Amino acid sequence: MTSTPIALPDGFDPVTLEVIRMRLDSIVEEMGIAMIRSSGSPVITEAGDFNTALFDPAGRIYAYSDYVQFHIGSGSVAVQNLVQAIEGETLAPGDAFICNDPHTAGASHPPDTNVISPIFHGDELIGWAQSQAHLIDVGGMTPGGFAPGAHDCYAEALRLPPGVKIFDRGEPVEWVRRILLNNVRVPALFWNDVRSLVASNNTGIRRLLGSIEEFGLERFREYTKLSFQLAEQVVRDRISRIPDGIYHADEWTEHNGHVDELYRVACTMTKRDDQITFDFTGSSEQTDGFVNCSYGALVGSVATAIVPILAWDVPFNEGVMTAFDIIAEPGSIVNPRPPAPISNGHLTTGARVSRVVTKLMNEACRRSDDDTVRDRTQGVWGDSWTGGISAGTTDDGDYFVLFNMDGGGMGAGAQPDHDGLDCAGMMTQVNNMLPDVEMNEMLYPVLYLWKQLSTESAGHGAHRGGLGLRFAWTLHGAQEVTQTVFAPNAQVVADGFGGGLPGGGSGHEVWRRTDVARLLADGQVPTRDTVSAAEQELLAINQQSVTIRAGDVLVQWIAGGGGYGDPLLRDPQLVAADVRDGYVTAETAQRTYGVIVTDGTVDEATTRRTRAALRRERLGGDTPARQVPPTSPAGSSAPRRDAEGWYVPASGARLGDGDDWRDEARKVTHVAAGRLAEHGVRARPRTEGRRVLIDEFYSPSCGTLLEARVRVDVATS
Amino acid sequence: MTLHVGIDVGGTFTDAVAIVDGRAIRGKAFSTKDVTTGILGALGVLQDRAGLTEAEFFSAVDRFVLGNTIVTNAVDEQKYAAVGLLTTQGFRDTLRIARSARTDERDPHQMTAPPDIVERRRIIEVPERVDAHGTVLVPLTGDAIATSVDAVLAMGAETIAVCLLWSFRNAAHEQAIGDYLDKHHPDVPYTLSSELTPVYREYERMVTTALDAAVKPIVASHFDHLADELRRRGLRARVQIMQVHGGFLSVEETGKAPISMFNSGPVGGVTGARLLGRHLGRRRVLTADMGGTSLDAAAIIDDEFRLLPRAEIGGLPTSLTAVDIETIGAGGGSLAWVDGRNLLRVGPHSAGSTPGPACYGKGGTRPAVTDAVLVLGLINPDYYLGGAVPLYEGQAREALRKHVAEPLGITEEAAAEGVYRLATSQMSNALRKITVNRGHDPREFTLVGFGGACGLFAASIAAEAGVREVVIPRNAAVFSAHGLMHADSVFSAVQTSPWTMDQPAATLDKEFAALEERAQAWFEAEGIPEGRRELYREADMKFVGQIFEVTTRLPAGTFGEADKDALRAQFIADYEEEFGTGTAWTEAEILLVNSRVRAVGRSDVQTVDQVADIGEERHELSRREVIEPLTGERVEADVHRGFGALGRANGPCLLEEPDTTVYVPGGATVELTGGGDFLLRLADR
Repeated sequence: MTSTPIALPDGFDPVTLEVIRMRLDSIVEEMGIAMIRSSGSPVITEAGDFNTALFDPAGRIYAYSDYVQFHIGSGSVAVQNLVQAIEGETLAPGDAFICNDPHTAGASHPPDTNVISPIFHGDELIGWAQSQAHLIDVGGMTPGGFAPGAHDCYAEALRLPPGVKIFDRGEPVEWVRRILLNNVRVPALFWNDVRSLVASNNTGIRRLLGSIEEFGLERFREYTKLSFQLAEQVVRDRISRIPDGIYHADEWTEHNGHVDELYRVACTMTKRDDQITFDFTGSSEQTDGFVNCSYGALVGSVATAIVPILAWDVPFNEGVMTAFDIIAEPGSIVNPRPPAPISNGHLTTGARVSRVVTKLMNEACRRSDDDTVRDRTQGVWGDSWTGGISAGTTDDGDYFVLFNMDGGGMGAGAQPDHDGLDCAGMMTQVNNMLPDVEMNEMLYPVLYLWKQLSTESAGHGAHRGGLGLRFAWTLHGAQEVTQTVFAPNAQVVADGFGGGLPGGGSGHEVWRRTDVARLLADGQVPTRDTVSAAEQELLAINQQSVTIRAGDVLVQWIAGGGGYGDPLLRDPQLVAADVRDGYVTAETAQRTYGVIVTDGTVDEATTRRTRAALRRERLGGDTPARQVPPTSPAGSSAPRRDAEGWYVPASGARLGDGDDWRDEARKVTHVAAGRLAEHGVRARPRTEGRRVLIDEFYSPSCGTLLEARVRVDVATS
Repeated sequence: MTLHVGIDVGGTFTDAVAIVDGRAIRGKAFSTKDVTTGILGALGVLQDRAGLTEAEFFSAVDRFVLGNTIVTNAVDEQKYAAVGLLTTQGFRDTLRIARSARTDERDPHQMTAPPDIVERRRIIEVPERVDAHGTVLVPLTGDAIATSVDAVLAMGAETIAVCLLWSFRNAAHEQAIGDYLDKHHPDVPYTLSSELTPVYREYERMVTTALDAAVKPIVASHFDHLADELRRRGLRARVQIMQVHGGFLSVEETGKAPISMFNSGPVGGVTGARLLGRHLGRRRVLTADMGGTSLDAAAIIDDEFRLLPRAEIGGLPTSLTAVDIETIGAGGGSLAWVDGRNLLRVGPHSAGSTPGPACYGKGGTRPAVTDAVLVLGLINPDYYLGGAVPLYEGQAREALRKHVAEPLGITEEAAAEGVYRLATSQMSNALRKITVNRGHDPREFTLVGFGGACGLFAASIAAEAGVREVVIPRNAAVFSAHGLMHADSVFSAVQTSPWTMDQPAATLDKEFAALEERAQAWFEAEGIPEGRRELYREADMKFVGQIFEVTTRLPAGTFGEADKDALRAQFIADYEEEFGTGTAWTEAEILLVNSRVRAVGRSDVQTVDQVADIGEERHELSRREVIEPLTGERVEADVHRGFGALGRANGPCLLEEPDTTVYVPGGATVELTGGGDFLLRLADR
C-alpha cells in the first residue's frame, strides 16, 4: 500500500518526533519489565496478563505496552473516570490510586486491577502512569475472580471505584490496605502485586521526567500531540481505501453461567470516507450471568481486532483509535449497568466483539481494490478463553489456587499467506505464554497425563486454522479441589474465510473414578486411549463448584482457528506433511481435502480423481462446467468484485452483479456440530433451544466452496 | 618464549592476534566454509610476522583460544543434523506448542510457528513418568528403551536428544537410555537433558537439548579436522573454545556440549573490554560493539560482567546461562526508510554485506547508516578500513535523496543528520537499558567502543546516554580476538534442588559439595594449576510464589546453620539491587531453586608492553568540512593521521587510523592512553 505523503507542520523536526516516540515506547516497555521481574504472580510473569501505559492529564494515551490489547480500552476509561472522580482533590507526587470496578472504573473484569499515579513536573500535573494486572484473587464468591454462579456484581468481587487512594506521598494508606487485605483470599500475594504495580509506575514516572528534562516540557507536549495526529492520519488513509458501505454481522455469547442460552452480539459497521462507526444496537439485553461486557472491555475488544488489521505497523497512541466511533446501548450485554455481573464479560462477549469486528472487516476488505487491504482478511480466531481454576488444600495442609494459564491455547485464524498459529491465544493476548508442565506440577498438586495439540480443533482450508491445545490432569498430592471451568467457544465456533471451514470448539469433562492409579501401578502411562472411567461427565459450558477428587481426571480441549480458502485448494504436499506429522488424519485428508496419502506421500492421480469427485458431490452429482487449475492460490476461492460484478478468481466463474454474491451461489445448510464431525472437527452439539447451523455456499459452475458460515437459527428447533 | 594466540572467526574475516614476549601481532584472513582453512590462513600471517618457521611457531604456542561461528551459523541457517528426540509419553508436542509462539508481534501475517529443530516424525514418546519429587511413577523398562531407540533410528535420526519430564530431579531414566546407546549404538551421538542442563522448565530444557544434539555431529566434524591440522603442524597447547558464558573450555569439553559456544564471538569483545578497563583502572565499563547489522552492549561492574539465565538462541528460549549482552538492530548496514506516517525510521532491516550500503557501489540502492556518515563528511571515502574498501559518495547521496530527503522534503545533508541521530538514539537506549534500568548511574561508566564504525558513533552515543568517558581501542578491528585470548577458563555445574531455610544447612552443603567435586575433576582434566583455581558457590533464589529467580553468591567453604541469616540478607540485597530498594517480599519465605558451582581457571594474562608502530608514527594534519551530526552545523574539523605521535587534541576533530576512524565532537578532548588507545573526555551537558 502506498501512503499519501503527510507533511509535518513548519518548525517540527521529524527526527525529534521519532526520538520522543521511541523514548515513550521504551519507557512503557521498561515499566512492564519492572512489573514482570518484581511480581510473583504467574498470571503476570507467565501469561503476561497486564499492561502499562502513560497518559496525558486528560487521559489520552501517550504510549502503551503491547501485552494485552484490550486493556487499551480499560486503561483509558480508568484514567478518564479517575480524573472526574477526584476533581478538586489535592494530589501530590507519590500518590497512587487503585481501582478494579468494571462498571465505574473501566476494568475488563474485577481481577484486572489498576494502579494509577499522577506525574508531576514541579507543581504541575503533566500526566498519569498506569499499570494494570490480573491479580490472582480479589475476593467475592469464587476464588480467582471469575464467578459463573453470580447473579449480580456485588457477589463477584470487592469493587474498587475510581478515586481510592492506596499510596499517599509514597507511603501505603494503611486503613485502605487493611480493608483490601481483609477481603481477598491470598493477601500476601495481593499486596506484593500491588507493590509491583506501584514499582512499574515509579519506573515510568522517573524515566518520563528524565526525558522531559532533556527535551523541554513544551516541546515534549507539542511533539506528542503531533504524534497523535500522524498515527490518526495513517489509519484514516487506510480506511479510505476500503469501499464505503454498511455491513452487518453477528456473533453469539454462549451460556451465561446459569443457563445454556445464546446471547447476540450484533454489529452494524458503517464505513464512510475515512471514518468507521461500529453500532452494537440489536445486541442482547444485559443478563444476570457473568458474561456482560463492560464498556471499557468493549472499546478494548474493538481495538484488539482493528489494530492488527489496520494499524499493525503504527506505533500505538490515542491517534490510532480516533477514526472509530462505538455505539452501544446502555443496559445491553455490551454496555451493562449495575447490578449486572461482569466477571467474564471480556473473555466471552468481549471475545465475540473482536470476532464480529474481524468478520465485518473481512467483508469490507474483500471488496477493496487494494491488494494490501484485501490481504487483511483472515480466518476468525478460536477466541474465547478456556478457563480452569482449582482451589483446595494440599496433603501438606497448604491452601492453593491454581489459575491454569493453559487456557490460552487456542488456535489463530488462518492467514492469506500461511496456516494460523497453533496455540496462539486470544487475538488480544500479545505475548501469550502457556505454562510449562513442570511449572504447574512444581507449584500445584497435579499430575499431567497429556498435553498436546488437538487434531480435532483446526478449521480446514487452503490454509489451515491454528490448532488448539488439549490436556488432562489428575490430583497428585491433594484429595479434592473445587473447580471452576468455562469454555464459552463450544458451540458457535470460529468462521473460516473464503471457503475455509470453521474451527472446532472448546470443552471439558471430568472423568470420574478412573483406573489411573491401577495403570500407573501396572507400569503404564495413562493415555487418552487407555484410561477408563466410571463416568465421563460433560460439564456445562460455564460451571463452578465442581468437586474433583483423587482418581478423577480433568480433561480440557481448546478451540482452533477458522480456515482460509477452499480446502480443495490446499497444496497436496502440505496435506501429506500434516498427515505424516499427525495434525490431520488420513480420513480427513481424503474426505475434506481430497488428498490420498500413501506411505506418507501424495498419490497424485488418485488425488486428482478424488478432488474432481468431491466437486461433483458438492454440485449434487453434476459435473462442473468450469475447471479450477490445481495450482490456484489459497485466496482464489473468495469471491471478488470487478466492473462487471462478482466472480471466483480460481476459475473465472461469474456470480452475478448484485450486492451480495451469495444470492447466486448454491447454498447448503447443515447443523454445525454434525457437519463439522464429518470433517473430524469437534463442536458441542446444542440439545435444546436455538440451533447452530453452517451455511455452505458453492459456485454452481466450478464447485468451489466460496464460504462456510456459522449461523444461529432464529427459530428454535 | 611465551606465545599466546587468540582467534575470532567472523562472518567475513578470521582475525588472529598473538602476543610474543609482550609484543602484539595481528593477522587477518578471509573466513572459509570449513572454518579450518581460514584459521590456518590467519595463523600463517601471524607466523610470518613473528618471523618464525611453522614448526617454531606452533611448538611455541602455549595458549590457543578460539571463538567461532560454527554453531551460530548452523542455528542461523537452521542447518541441523537429522536429530531424533525421545520424550515422556503424552508430551510429544512440547516443541511445537512452544509455550505459545505468539511473541509481541502485532501483524498476524508475521505470526508463524517456531522453526522445527526436530522433524515431528523423529519425536518418539517413551513410556515412563517421574513426578515433581523425583519419584518414579512408571518405570522405564529395558524393552521400552530398545523399542524407542530402534523407532527413532528407523526414522533416520543421526543424533539423539533425550528430554524427559523431571529428569533433573531423577536422571535414572535418561541415564538408562544413555547407557543403552553407549552399549548398542556407540557411534550415535546423543545429549541427555539431565547432563546438559539439569534445570526445571521442560520447554527450555528440550530446546537446549535438541539444539545441542542437532549441532553435535557438525561440530565434531569441524573440530576433528581442525585438531588434526593443528597437531600436524606441531601445536602442543590445548585448543580452547570460547563459550557463551564468558569463559573458555577445552575442545574436548566443548564437544560434549557444543551448543554453549553459540554466539561466543561478541563475548570476546566483552572480555577484552574488561581487560582494558582493568588496565585503565576503571571499575565500571560499558561495551558497544557495532557491527554491520547490530550493536551489542554489555556492562562490566567491578571487573565482572553480568550473566543472564535463560538466554535466547535463534529466537528460542534456552536454559543456558550467557553473558548478558543487549543486542539491538542498529549497525552500519541498517537501512533508513520512511514509514506510513511519513517519518524517518532506521533499521531493523539491514543491507547486509552484499549488496551492502549504497556507497559500497555493489548494487545497494537503499540508504544505510554508513551512507549517512559518509555524506556528513565523517569518513574519508579513500581511507575506509585503511583504504581497503573504496566508497562512492555520489551513490550514498543518491540513495539518501531518493529514499529519505525527497519523501520528507529535506536536504540530503539533513537526511544524513537525521539517520545519524536516530541510529544514535536507538543505540543509546540500549546503553540506558543496561545502566539506568538496573539502577546504575551512566556517568560513572567508561564506554569502550569497537567494531566497524563504532569510532564514529561512540562519543555521540555516550553523550546521549549520559556517559562522559569513551575509549576506542587502537586494535578495534581485532579487539574480540584479543579479548578472548585473555578470557578465563570457566566451568559451571548446576542442579535444580529446591531448598528452604527450614531445611538443614547440611543438605544444601552436600549439594554444593557434589557440584564442587565435579568442578575439581574438571580442574584436573584441564590441567589448571592449583594457584589459578577459583570456586564460587551460587544459588538461584526467589521468594516463594515468584516465578523468576535472582542469583546470589554464597560464602566459600562449608555452609552451616550459622550462615543461613547471612544468605538471607545477601539474597535480599541482591534482589533489591536488581529491582529497587523496598521491593523485597520480606514477609515471604525464600526458596533456593538451583545450586551452581562456577569453577574459574584464571588466565595468566600477558601484558602487551610494546604498542606496535607507535614509535614509527608521523603525525599528519589536514582539514575537512564536516557536518557536526548532533548540532547540524557545518564546521571545519582537524583530521589527524598518526595521532600516536601527537598524543592529544581537542574536538571537533577526526582521527583517521588504519583500522578505524574516530569522531571527537566539539567540546571533547582526546588523548592517547599508555596502551596506545584513544581516550575521549566529553564535555558536561
